[in-house]
Amino acid sequence: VSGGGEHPGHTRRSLLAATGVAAAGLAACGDDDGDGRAGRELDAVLMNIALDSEHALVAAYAAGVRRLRGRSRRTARAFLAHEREHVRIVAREVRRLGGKPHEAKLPEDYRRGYPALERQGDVLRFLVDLEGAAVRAYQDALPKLSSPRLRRLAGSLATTEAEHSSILLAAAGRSPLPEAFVTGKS
Amino acid sequence: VTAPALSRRRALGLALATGGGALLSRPLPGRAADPSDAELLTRAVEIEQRATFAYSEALRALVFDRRTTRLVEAMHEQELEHVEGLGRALRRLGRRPPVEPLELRGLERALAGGQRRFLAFALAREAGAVRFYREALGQLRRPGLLPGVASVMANRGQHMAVLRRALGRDPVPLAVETGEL
Repeated sequence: VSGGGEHPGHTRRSLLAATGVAAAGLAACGDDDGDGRAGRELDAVLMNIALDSEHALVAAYAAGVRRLRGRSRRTARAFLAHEREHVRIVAREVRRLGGKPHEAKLPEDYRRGYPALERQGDVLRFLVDLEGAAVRAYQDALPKLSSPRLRRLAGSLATTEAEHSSILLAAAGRSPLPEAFVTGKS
Repeated sequence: VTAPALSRRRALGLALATGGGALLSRPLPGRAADPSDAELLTRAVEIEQRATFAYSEALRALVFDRRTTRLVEAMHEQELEHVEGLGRALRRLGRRPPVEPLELRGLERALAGGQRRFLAFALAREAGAVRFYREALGQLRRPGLLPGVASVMANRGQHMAVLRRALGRDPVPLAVETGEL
């Protein structure tokens, strides 16, 4: 639990500055945590960061499902459908906030960063790691999301990723409930 | 449970507790009608205490198969950690944790129905917890509390997934977990 309250490594201001979003609007609103223009613009940035995680998950499941067998393969197919749904939902939210949803990279661009995925266990471990990264993306976004509705959505999406992780861990022969506080960091 | 795991869990619980005070001067906007953070945390501790009570009673009263015993023991232990972490956060806000329950509506009947009946009862309680935490994420004013509360919500979702599987159901039936059954 990164309970300090600030986004690890990022502040609201640095996130906006790094992405070149709304510098003028941010300056006008100062430290505004409210749901004004700067709040919506930052929400769009944060949801786009989460969208990157969702795109990565879609690519990884699509690549990994071919290397899985039996029940694990059926599970991965179902989770791939969930991740595609997450992409649609999060992209829609970015558009609703006035932002431009990040596109997925090419499959080969994702594959370049993959570890060796020869055995079923390799694939399951890799998918668990990516699910954890998505949990982190949503939980890191939460303290900065100005919209209560988006905070609820982020909580739901993080919870779904944690559920995926639990079932993948079980498929890999590990405890499906490794920690009481699921942060995606272990 | 290994010592490093325990100390990491304590650190996580502590982080949840200290997160509540970190940004007291920068609250998130909220509606006047929303409950206060202390009220929400009090309710959260009550929910976790009831879950702890239910799993504890089930482990005492029922003979589960081996795999289910391990699951119920793990969930019981994790609910205890939630009680500890959320209780600490509540004390940081100047409130005392609520008194632990001595009974739980519907539990006796669920236990009398055996393993399957109890697991269905537990699933309904887990779903209720997820619904509560989801709503709380939109109502809490202290930003520092949000990741910790979300981490408890995610764990409760995992409990839902393993309970659904133990009941022979699709473990993750929906793309967006809202705690609906």
